[in-house]
Amino acid sequence: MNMHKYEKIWIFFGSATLLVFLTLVGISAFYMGNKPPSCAVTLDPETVREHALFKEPGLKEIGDNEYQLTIVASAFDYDVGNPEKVIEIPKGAKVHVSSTTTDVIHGFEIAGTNVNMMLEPGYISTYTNTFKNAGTYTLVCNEYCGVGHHLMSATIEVVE
Amino acid sequence: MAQGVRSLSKKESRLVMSHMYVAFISLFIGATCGLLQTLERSGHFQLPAGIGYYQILTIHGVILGLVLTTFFIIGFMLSAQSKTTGGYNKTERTLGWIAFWLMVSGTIMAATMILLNEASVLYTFYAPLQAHVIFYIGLALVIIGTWIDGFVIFKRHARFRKENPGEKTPLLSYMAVITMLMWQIASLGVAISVIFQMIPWALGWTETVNVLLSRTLFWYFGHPLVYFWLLPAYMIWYAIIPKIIGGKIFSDSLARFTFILLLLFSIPVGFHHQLTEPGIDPFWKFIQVILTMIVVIPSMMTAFSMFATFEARGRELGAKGMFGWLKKMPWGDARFLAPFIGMLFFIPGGAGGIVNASNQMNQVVHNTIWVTGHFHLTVATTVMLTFFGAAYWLVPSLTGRTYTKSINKLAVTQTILWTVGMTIMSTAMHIQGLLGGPRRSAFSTYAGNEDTAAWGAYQIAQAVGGSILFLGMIVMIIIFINLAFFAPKGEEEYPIAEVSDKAIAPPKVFENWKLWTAVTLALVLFAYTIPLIDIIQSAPPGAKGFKLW
Amino acid sequence: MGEPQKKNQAHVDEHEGIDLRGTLFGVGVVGFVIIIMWFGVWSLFLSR
Repeated sequence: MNMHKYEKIWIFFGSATLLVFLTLVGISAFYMGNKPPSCAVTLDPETVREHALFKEPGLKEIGDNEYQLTIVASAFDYDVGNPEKVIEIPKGAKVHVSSTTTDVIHGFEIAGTNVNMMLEPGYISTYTNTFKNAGTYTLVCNEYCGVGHHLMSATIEVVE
Repeated sequence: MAQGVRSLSKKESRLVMSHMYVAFISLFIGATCGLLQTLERSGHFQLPAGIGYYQILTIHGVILGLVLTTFFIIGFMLSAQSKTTGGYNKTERTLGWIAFWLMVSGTIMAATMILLNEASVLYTFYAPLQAHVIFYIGLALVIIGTWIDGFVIFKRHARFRKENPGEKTPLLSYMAVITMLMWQIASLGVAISVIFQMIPWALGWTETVNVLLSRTLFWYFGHPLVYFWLLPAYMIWYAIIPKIIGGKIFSDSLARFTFILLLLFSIPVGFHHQLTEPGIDPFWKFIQVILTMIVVIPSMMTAFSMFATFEARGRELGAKGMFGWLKKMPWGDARFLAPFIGMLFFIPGGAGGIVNASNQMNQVVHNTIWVTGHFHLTVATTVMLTFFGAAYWLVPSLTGRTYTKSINKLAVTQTILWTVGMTIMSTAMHIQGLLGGPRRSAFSTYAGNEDTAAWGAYQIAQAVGGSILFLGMIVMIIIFINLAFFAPKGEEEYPIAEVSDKAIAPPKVFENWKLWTAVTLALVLFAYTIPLIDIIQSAPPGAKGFKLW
Repeated sequence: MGEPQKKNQAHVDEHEGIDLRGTLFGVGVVGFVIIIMWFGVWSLFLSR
């Protein structure tokens, strides 16, 4: 088995490129804290509402420009703590997002941001995000959950 | 009238053609559903009463992703194995028929449940959405059928080695064995999930299900599933396309080596579909991301081999300069043109795949319609155009008919329609996905905000692309029916390329199946053992079933 | 035109003397698409 000289060049540069990609995402994930949402904290999916974190969904200030945003998903609704389904977040604030589902799997995607995670029964999904750009964002469900899947949404206002 | 000459025996032709009938009926049903989906999501069309968007989406995914692909692949590989090794004996053929009927029964069971609206769970059937038990049993039967076909392919390969001691095995036969070996190891995961989790749960024997375990088992199978689609396309690229352009296989040994790498690295990578899930340690996600990058390398080697095959042939025909060889390719021959365009689409398709698998970068695109755009490039264009290109010679060669100039013209039209339709639809999907548009969703105005309203234009573009693709599908069905029943009788070649005389025999170790199986399993154990123990040990209370459609 | 490669004495080179400059260019394009797409989405990830 022998390789053409050009193929060796191609495989060398190709592999080097992949190595660069891995190094960049690796450093970003493990040294700068941009890991994908992987919180392995569990709860009983039947008693979500009794869990301390999910008793009162909504946005709470927990520190200097730091907030806790808690949302409970169920078919086919996001409980964000108010019937208008609007959350206002100051631009540049650090927000710890926590969510879970009371029934089937749901998606949790704030379109146009990096907040994009799966909600699975029995697990709390968390992600910390700093909203850098002001504007109106929509929280949508991006995993099929049943006949009303496309009706699940809420509004996130990032204000100056 | 000329006598029809088949490329395989009559009995074997009938077995292979039976798979093709199911495949092309599936194409018709599945692509029709696809058209309806794009129309519904454009916001300008409502499905007729009683039909749910998610019901036809389930049909689209199951019938195209699982049924069309599996039947075409098994049919093609059975034919290639027979053609290159000298035919099956009675036992092997009988097993082939048993497998076929198991798969057909399974398909009918699953399809009936979907049509009765008892299984609108999409082709990924994520628990705790709970379908009717017959849906799961149907899926299990399809998988078990493919296992039997796998053993037929292994058995024939082993018999060839016994009958021809010391001789190199045929390239296509070797590749078919790798493909089925990979498939069997991978589909064990989904079979375990369906048989030990879903069926007892759907029957009510168990009350709850471990959701994360079922998803992990599904994606242990789900990524190799896409390689199960791709590898047969690679078989056609490596071992058949060179013959169609009049050239030789660029390198027999490198082709085999590429397939070994694909066997080893296409399985321990399932976590790159689960990057945004809670419950899996980020360290193990990253380990599988690294393994995913390794499986890119054999595809890079394939890209080189393809270009080199074409360039070497072009230069043999007297091409000059850097690009002169391009002019020497048989562009008017759809048996070449369709797979060639498939290859071109794999460039953005593969590049998008690297993006998807890049750990936290997945958050930008996860479950957005970008992903749908991605696999409509890879499986629905790269793989499908290659299969269409193969059908143009495979079907007439099995029915003792000929691929005429007028059918070729129609086939070139088909290729153009598919290319244009898919370019429009997939580009719109990619852009809408980057803007955050979710996949697998019916038309919606969501909260009425501007960001989601901006998706509308892309959804209309998808409907335009989807309509062109529907026309392409109709043309393909016309071609298939013509080649199967009406084309003039005659002899159509089953093209199999030869290796160059200067080629060196592949190393003996390539045929050491125990070794490659052991290394594959070792990699699987490395990538999955600790996370699986973790998933089971620290599992939350199980989830009850829901029927929310 | 590419010079014929030197013959390896241990074994015959099956690709001896084939000019594959077009192939090198072709895979170069593949690499370019991969890099552009990856860094495009990476910059989107960083900006959001």
